Amino acid sequence: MDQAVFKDVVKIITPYAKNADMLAKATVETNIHKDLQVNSTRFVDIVLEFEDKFGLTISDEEADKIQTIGDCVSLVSKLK
Amino acid sequence: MLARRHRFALQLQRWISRVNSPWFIGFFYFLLQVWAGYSCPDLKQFRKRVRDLLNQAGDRPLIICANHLTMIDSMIINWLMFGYVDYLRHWRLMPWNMPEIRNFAANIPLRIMCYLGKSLYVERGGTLAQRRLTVEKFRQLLEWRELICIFPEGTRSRTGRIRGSPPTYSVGELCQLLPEAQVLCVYVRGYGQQTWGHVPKRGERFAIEIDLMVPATPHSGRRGAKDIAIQIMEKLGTMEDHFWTQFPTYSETNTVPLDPVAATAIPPEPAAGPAIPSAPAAATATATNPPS
Repeated sequence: MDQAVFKDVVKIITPYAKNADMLAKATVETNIHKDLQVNSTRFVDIVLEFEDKFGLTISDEEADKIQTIGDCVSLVSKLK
Repeated sequence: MLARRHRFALQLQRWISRVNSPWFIGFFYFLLQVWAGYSCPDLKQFRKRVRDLLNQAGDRPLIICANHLTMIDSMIINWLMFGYVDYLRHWRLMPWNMPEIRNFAANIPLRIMCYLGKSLYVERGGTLAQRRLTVEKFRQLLEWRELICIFPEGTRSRTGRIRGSPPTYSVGELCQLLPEAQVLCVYVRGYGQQTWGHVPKRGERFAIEIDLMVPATPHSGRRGAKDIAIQIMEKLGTMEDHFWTQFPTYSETNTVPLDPVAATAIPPEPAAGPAIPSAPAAATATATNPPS
């Protein structure tokens, strides 16, 4: 697990997470939708920020599979 | 492609609502105009402008995008845009809506009303598959040249203003799926509506503005959908600015959070705003004139 990518991912998600308590103790298993209560529209914003921040292109299929912070880190690490 | 059973369900709903339209439209016009006492200066002029814009749009798919302050905004917009006879003659003019299921599911009469009023439920925070299905249904309806009404904010304006409200991107997705689609932007607000709530107060008088836009974006995918949604929100924001320019007295009591992310937090519903005794004299100008 790339800790630098993990920190960047959490930083990007932070403004969109409605559950601050869960965010404070976020791990790779934290579910973005259920635990952090990020809705589908704001999740699109997050994916766009991943693309901008890491210089990636994330397909709809790849984005659809993202559930946890760990999924984000794996995807970013794979595409970088 | 929408599955056959979903297409059948949509056609059935359209047919049942059409059959019931004479009493249903009469009932909700009675509720709005007589029971609630709502009115709009120069309604005839406004409806003429709506007809002109529809003619201008031609046979292209048309999406109505409006600001969202109360639970009955779609009813109010439908009433303001067309008369009783217009709906009886052309049932497709009654726009399809997508209310949040939790607001209506528990109440059977409300569910029936929503069904007859051409509503398709959506579930806030639903799964991706549910969301895709809803978009596909609306795409199908647009291909049938039915009108649909979407509130791009996705929920009632927590700030009371379209400016500062974060958009949802479904409307952008639809515009991408149907590039020939046009958007009819509608800004409606009662003179006494300081912020969001359940329903406007009785006797409310409404100002309404409408304009047609053809969204376009150089981007594709979700970035394009976001771009289009932002363009529509900007257009509605301009119409809102026009409203508040005409009625600056009311804007003094409204404050808008500047952080769009902070605006997604849902504050408790405010109490009904102070009653404003009479509509400003400039009301006619707003109802009649196209937005600047």
